[in-house]
Amino acid sequence: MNKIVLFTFIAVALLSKELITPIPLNIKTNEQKALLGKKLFNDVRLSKNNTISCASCHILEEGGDDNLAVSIGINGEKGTRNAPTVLNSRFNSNQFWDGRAQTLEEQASGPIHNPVEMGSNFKEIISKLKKDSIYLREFNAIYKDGITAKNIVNSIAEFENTLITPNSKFDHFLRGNTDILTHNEKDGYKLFKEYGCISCHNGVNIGGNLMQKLGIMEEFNTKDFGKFNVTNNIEDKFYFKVPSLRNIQHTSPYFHDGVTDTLKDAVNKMSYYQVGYTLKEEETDKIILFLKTLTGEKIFLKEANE
Amino acid sequence: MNKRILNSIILVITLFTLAFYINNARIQNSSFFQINTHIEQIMMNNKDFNLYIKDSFHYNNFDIIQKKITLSKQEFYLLKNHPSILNNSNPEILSYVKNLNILFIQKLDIIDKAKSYRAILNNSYVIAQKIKKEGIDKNLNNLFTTIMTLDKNPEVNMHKEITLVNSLSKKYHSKNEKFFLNHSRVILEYKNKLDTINHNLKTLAFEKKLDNFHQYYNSYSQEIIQKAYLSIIILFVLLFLSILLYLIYDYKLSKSREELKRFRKTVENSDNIIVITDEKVKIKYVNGAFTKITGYTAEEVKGKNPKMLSSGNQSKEFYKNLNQTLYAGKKWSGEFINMSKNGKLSYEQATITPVFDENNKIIEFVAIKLDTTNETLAQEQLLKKEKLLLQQSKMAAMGEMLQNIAHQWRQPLSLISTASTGLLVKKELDIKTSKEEDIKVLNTINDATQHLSETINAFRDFFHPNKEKVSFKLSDVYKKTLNIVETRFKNLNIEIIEELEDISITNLDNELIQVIMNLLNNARDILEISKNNKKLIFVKIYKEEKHIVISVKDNGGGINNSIIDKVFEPYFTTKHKSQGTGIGLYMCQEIITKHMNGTLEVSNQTYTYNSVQYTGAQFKIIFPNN
Repeated sequence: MNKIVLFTFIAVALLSKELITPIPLNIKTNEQKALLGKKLFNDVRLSKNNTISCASCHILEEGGDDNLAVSIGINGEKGTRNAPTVLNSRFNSNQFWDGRAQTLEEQASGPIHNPVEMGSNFKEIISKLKKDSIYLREFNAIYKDGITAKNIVNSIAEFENTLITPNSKFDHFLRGNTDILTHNEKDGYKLFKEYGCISCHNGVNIGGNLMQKLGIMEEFNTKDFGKFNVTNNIEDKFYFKVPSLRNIQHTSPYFHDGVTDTLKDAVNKMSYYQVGYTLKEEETDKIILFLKTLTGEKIFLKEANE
Repeated sequence: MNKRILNSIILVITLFTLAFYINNARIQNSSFFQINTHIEQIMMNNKDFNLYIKDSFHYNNFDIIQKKITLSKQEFYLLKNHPSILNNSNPEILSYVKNLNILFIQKLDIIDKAKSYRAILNNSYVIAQKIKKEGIDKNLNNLFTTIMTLDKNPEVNMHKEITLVNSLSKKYHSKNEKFFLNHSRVILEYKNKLDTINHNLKTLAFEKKLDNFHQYYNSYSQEIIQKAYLSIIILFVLLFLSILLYLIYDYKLSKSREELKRFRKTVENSDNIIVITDEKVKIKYVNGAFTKITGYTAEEVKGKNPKMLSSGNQSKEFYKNLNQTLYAGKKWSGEFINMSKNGKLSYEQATITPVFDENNKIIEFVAIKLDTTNETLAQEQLLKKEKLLLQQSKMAAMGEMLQNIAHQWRQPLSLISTASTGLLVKKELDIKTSKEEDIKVLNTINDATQHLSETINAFRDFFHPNKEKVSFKLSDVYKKTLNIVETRFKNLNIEIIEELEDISITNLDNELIQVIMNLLNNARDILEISKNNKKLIFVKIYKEEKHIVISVKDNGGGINNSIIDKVFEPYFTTKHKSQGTGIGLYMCQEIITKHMNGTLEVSNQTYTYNSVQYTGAQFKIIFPNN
C-alpha cells in the first residue's frame, strides 16, 4: 500500500514538472572566488608555454566556445573534439563529450593536463603562480592553504558558475509570457516535442543531463566511440553527452566532431539519425526558429562592463 | 594530608574521565545519528531510483533524477568519508562501505543507462502510436499489439520478434510502414536492453545490501552506545563512591584532627613537662610546663640534647642505663635531678617512651616528666623534723631517766651518807667500834655504791641503744624497765599487778624499754592525779594464736572518747606544759610500727578487780607471732 502511495506521489511529482525550466535569475556565488577564477580563466600561465588560457577556446563574448571544428592547443596542435560552450555549464550533470567528469572542478583539470590542449600540470602552474605576489595575496585571502590544485580548480569552477545566460525569449515564455513567441516559434516548440527531441533535450539546460547513443535509428558516421573510450563497455559505444541547446545559434560548428556548420544541417542530422525521420523543410525552419529563442542574456559581460 | 591530596586528584581525574566519556558518547551518538541519516537518505533515494527504472514510459525532465543522483552521491561521499567510518576499528563496517561503494557506482551506471533507454523507448512508443494513428498496413496490427503490450507479456521472445521485424522491413517500402517498423525494432531492442539492466539490478541487490548494512550498523551502534552508557553508569557509581569515601575520610580526618587538637591542647597545658626528641635525641618539641619549670623557651632548646639540663648530680651509669633501656625499645622510668636556667635544682619523675614507625624503627622519644622538687624538699623537711622529734623525745626520756635516777639514788646516797657520817662521828669522838661493826657499815656503803653502779649501767644502755635485733625475754625487758622506774611508783603507792608468760622474741630490746617505760610513766601520771583509793596498774604479757601481746592497763578512768583518736599524733598532750611534750606516744608508735614491725593500740576498759569495778586506759603492744 505504502509503495503505491509513494509511487503515485513520485509519479505526480515527476509529471507535474515542466520538462524545460527557465534559468534561475538569482544564483548565489562567491564573488571573491569568482573574480580570482576569472583571472585564472584568462591566464595563459595555466598552459605549458604560456600561450593558451581557458578563454582561448571558450570565448565568452561569442557562444562560450571557439567556433572551430576542433580546438587548437599549444604548439598549434589540433584536438580531437569540438570545444563545448562554457556557458550554463553549471547546469550540466555531465562534462566533456564523453561525460568523464561530473563537476566543473573535475572538468577544469582536464584541458590543463591534455598534452595537445594546455599540456601543463599543477606542479608547474602552482610554481608559476606562486611567483605572482597578487595571486599569493588573493589565494591566501580566500583559502587557508593558499595556492593548491584544489583551490585553483575551485575558483575557476566558481567563475564558471557565474557564466549563465538567463532571460532568453523562451524563458520568458516559460515564465508565462506566452505572447512573446511568434506563431512559428511556437510551432517549432510543438514539433520539438512531437518528434521527441524533448525526450533527450530537457531540463534547465535543454540537454546536458543525459548520456545518449548517437545514431539510434541509423548509424552515425564517426570514428569517435565516445563514452566507450572511457569505460571500455560495449554498451557505451557511441554514447555522448546530450549537449545543451541554449545559445545554440552561437555555438556552431556542431556535434562532437564539429563537422556540421549550420543549424539546419544539425537539426536534420538529429531527426534522421536519432528519430529516423526526414524533416520537411518548413518543419526544420520552424524548429530552428524555436531554437533561436533559447539565446539568453550574457549578464556576466554586463557586470564586467559596469 | 598526602592522602587528602591524592584523594582529591583521584576525584578530579574521575570527574574528567567521566566528562570525557560523556562527551565521547555524545559525539559518538551524534556520529551514529549522522551516519544513520546518510544511510536512510541513500535508501530513500535508492527507492526513488528503483521506482524510476520500473516506471511506465513518459517524458522525463532528467534534471529531477539527476538532482537525486547528485544528492545521493553527496550522501554517499559523506558516509564514506565520515570520520567515524574512516577511523572505525570494526573491519566489517569498512568492508560493508567499500562493497556498497562499488555497488553504488554500478547502480548509478544502470540508472544512466535506464535514462537513455527509457528516452529512446518513450520516443519510439510515442512515434509508433502516432504512425499507427496516421494509418499503417493491417498486417502490422499484430506487431503493434505485441509492442504495446510488451510490459504485460514477459514471455515474448525478443529475438524472434526482431527477426520478424527485420524480415517485414524488407517487404514494406512505403514511408510510414518503414518508419513504424524501424521504431518497432528499436522498441524491441531497447526493451530487451532495459530488461537486461533490470535483471542486473536484481543481481546487484544494492537495496538489500544497503538494508543489511543499515541493520548491522544500527545494532552495532546500539551496542556501542549501550557500552558507553554502561561505562558512564559505572563511572558515575565510581564517582559517587569516591565522593562518599572522600566525605567519610574527610569526616574522620576532621574528627581525628579535633582529637589531635584536644590532645595537643592537653599536652601544651599539662603541668607535666613533655619533651619530644627525634631518634638522635635532638629536641623537637617542648610544652609550656617545660618553659615554666626549666626557664628555657622552646626556641632555645630545639635541636639540642636534653642532657643540657643535667645538673651533674647523677652518675654516668645512670645515663648509660637510660640510653640502653631506650635504644632497646623499652620504656624507661626514673628520677632526674636537673638544673633550671637560673641554676635551681629540680627533681623530675620521668617516663620516657620510644615511638616507632611502621618499620619498627625508632623515630622519636617522648618524655613525660613530673616536677617533684617541692615534694622531694617536703620529704626532706619531714625527715629532718622527725629526727628532731626523736631527739626531743630522747631528751624527754633522759629527763625522765634523770628523775628516776634521782629517786633511786636518793636512798642509797642517804644510806652511804648516814653510814659514813655515823662512822666519821664515831671516829672523831673516838668512840670505839668493833671491827665487825665497821665492816658492816663499810659493806652497807659498798652495797649502796654497787647499786648505784648498776643503775648507771641501765642508764648507759638506754642512751646507747642497740640497733641490732637480739633475742630476749619480754619479761626480762619489762623487769629491767620496772627496775628503772619502780621507785617512783612505790612512792605513789601504786600497786603493779603482773601476769607474765615466759615469751622470747627477736627484736630491739632497748627500744622496747623506751616504749614500756613511756606507757608505765603515762599510767603513773594519770594515777598520780587519780582520786581512787587504790592505784592499780595491770601488766600482762601473753600469747594469742597469731600475736604476742604486752598489755599495760590502769584504773585512771580512761581517755576521753573525743580525743582517744588523737593520742598518737605528735605534739598532742593532755598534760600541763611543764609535764609533757606531746611526743611520747607518737614516738612509741613510730618505734613499734616502723622499727619493730609491730602495732600499738589504745582502748578504754571497764573491769572488775577484787569485786570492785574500775575504768581505765589499756595500751597493747602487739607483735606478730612467727
